[in-house]
Amino acid sequence: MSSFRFFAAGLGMVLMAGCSPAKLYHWGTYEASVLRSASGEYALDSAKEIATLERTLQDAERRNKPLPPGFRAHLGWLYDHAGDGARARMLFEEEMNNYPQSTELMTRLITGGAAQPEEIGS
Amino acid sequence: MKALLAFIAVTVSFGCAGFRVPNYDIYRENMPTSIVVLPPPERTLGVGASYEYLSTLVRPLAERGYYVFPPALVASMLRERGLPTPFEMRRTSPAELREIFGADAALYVTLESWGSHFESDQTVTEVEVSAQLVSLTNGVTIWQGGAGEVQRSGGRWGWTGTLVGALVTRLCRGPSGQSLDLAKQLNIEMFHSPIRGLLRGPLHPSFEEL
Repeated sequence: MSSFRFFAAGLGMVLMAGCSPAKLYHWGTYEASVLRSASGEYALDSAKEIATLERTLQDAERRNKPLPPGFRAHLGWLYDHAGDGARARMLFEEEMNNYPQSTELMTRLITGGAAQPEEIGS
Repeated sequence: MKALLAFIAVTVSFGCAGFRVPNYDIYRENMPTSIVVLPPPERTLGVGASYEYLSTLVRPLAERGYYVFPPALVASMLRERGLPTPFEMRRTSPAELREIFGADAALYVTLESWGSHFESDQTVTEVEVSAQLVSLTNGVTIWQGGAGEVQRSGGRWGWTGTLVGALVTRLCRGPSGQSLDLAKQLNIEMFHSPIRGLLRGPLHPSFEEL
């Protein structure tokens, strides 16, 4: 009886795994970062935010799984806010190469559409 | 007898209305590849709830095969254009959204209820959402859906258990963790339903050209 129950539970798990859709992307901390940064109301620790996303980027590379659409653009936007325009532009270009659907917006961002009013240095 | 027949007819037609498969012709004709998602108008639920729900939308849409513009960047750009709140962002016209982001479609979402409260000895979490996918090339609504649920937890260990449980839940997941979890579940129900969900988009490996 107990072995049957065990078998049934195992079967159930296999069936559930079969039903849940396979993930297309490696999400890592992307959603959590969107949650923290979307309202623009909280003072964001951008260095910490960037660090967690960079780790997600490396994880994705290591697992050879694609990053979700918008991920690199989001990270680039954070770099832009943190004053690292060069890294931001690089990520915007990568977003565009991986997802041509973003070309219009990324081109706008690269050519300075989203330039911060209070640009530091350079 | 006539009354009985009429009753049966009414019952059957109600049943059919409930399970009617939506017409996907317009959707297929206007199949978008990229979607821009706007935060739901805050109304009485507050700006916090609006942005929290926004953050749950990227994943189900992207996993369904669409390019989803990064929502935090989108909201920030709209704020820079003089639209400080989700309520005002919602008033941006399809043509403007297309011009700013180059998106094929916009997902407009509405939050009917959001949040948890304590009711006698239970934590009650209530989330109700609806969504509308609009083509930005012609302004036509190509899909709409909705989902909602009331979830009750706790109440098994008496009031001390509830207090401790509520505290632990609060510490572990923050005040809105339960709404977020429930919203993610509802999104799957709403967007990935094989009967009334979104069609698989062009970025999905099993996207069928129709």
